[in-house]
Amino acid sequence: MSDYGLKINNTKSEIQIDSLYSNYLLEKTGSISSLNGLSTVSIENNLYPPIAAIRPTSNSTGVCGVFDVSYSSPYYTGVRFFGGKEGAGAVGTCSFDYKIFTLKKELITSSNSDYGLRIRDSLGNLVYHTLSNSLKILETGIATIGSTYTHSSYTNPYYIFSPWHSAVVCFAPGPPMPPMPIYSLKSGLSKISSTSIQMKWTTCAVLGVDRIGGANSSGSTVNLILCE
Amino acid sequence: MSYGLRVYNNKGEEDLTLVDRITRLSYISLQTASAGNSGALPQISGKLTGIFSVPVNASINQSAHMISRSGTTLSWTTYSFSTKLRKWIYPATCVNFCFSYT
Repeated sequence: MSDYGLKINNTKSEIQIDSLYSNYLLEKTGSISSLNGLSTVSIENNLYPPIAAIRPTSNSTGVCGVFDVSYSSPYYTGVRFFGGKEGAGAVGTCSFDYKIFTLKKELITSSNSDYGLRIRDSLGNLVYHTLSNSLKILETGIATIGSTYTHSSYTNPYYIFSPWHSAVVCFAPGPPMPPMPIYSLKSGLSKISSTSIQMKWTTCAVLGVDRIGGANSSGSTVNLILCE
Repeated sequence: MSYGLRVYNNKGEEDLTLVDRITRLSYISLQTASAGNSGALPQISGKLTGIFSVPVNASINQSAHMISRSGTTLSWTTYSFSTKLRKWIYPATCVNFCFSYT
């Protein structure tokens, strides 16, 4: 039972805030332009993993996503994004906006820090703060790689998706079967319009060369979360 | 909305209302590269969740765990690529976590 702080239930009698579970709050927002490969954005040392939301801004051939999180025990220290062009072996870039949400013990103080509402748990950890925007969910759905997902009620939202699919592709051009590149692909987001998005594959790396030919992916559908 | 709590920020913008769906961390577990497992999470009963398996300090030839939810149970496993391609890609150590939202 929550016995600390303030307990707030929403209109469905569901808990929005209490002292048992911390709310994700915005730590960092920014943009990455013309990324071809990987780029790390650091966060303050945190015992809990960050959540990164992205908003592609390139044309529809650009693909982006979150590659991994940086961890140096016991802290999470950053988020690494990937950007590229749609397709196996394709070379190109992707531009996108990002927001990184974390669980915070403290916020940077400011001259206006006496505004709004702030709630702590029994250990003194901050679970909610007015001056740091909460991660708010707008819509959820299922997106299929290669198909457009339309969200007519929301314009230019940020996106989170899971799971993060991987694929390995090696083309087979036929006899005499020369060694061909082995491509490592990741599933990512591509902007179609302000109210639609598409999951696509992008080349993450060339892993080597071989004569094996073939393609295999870990899946084709993801849970898509639209957020502010 | 004409009732309940509203919180405004220092710019006079509405920061939180009772209809907002905000997120709360419900579960976290660091899993080694080869581990598959499951866990019961009674705290997510009746709640919507976002579930994640995020590679940690990954290499370009590593993949995330596949994670899924059934009722109040989270399950995760490493994806097994086809035999001829398997040598090129390996599972990553992942942090599996779940947030619930109203």
